[in-house]
Amino acid sequence: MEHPLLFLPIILSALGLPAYGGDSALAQILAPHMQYSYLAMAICLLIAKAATSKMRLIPKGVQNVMEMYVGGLEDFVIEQVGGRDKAMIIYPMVATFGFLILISNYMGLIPGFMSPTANLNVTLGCTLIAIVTYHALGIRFHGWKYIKHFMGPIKVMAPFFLIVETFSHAGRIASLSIRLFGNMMSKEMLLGLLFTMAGPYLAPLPIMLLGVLVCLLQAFIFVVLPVTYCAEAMGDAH
Amino acid sequence: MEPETKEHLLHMLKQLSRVSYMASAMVFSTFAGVWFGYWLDMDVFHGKTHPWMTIIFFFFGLAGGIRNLFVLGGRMKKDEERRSKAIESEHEKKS
Repeated sequence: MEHPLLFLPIILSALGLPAYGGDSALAQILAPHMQYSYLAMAICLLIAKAATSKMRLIPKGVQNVMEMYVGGLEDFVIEQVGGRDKAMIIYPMVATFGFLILISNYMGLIPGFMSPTANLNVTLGCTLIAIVTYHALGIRFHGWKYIKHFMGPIKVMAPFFLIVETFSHAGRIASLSIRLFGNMMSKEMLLGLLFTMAGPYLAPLPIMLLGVLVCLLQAFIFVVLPVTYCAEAMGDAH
Repeated sequence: MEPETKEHLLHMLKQLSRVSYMASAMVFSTFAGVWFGYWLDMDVFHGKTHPWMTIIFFFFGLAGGIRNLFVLGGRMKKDEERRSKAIESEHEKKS
């Protein structure tokens, strides 16, 4: 699968732009996963605009769906973090992650489109934002005493715990990014293989059904885990 | 959708996401430890200490993975307690 059939790169390469990746800066900005990330961002902005342009007291259509999403997620974050003030600091980031990743994931199920999240660079970028944010929040709430979170309960064993915590945090970065990437990538690969080998009609259907569930679950994970980490960083030292 | 069904679904998704995370956090943390130890062995000490750094940092990585399990397990327990309290108070209200 060197060049799977993708609409945006076909259009861009017809315009004479390097749309399939390469070494130059323009080719890297216009690589396929970047194009579909831009598309996902544009869809997010359009839906947000459509939901807020004609606001009514009794919501209808897009506004109804968005109010359900925003309200439900807000309750969830407040319950996890334990306080509205603290929750409102991380809520915009988490809600954006959830929405963007949900749209990115589901985009891969449409023929001619790919999931931007099936590329490690996209998921690693999101993960790094989340990780840096929760460490920054920890420093903001506890000052330099935040490092006590990494020292463990016994003073003598503090250096040991520091090393162990370093690896546990490295593991968090890797697992958060690689799990999302792996799930989406495997789904795309499997769909591609079934399309080409087993015929385009009924064979890929079970994987498509699984894909629908996995897309939702992975987007949800990307909301739950940053919230858990932020709650842990903002809470008291253990 | 009834509020109870919705709550149940949300709870299930939350547990599912945490459990799936626990497994991968453990694996990748161990992997990070091994990788760092191997890097120390090969690039910093040019193979003189091979394979001791790899082995030592493998255990550090493993400990980090288990630490992740403890953190998430503690959080799951807290959630569970909160949930059972909420359900109890709901029952008391009804009765």
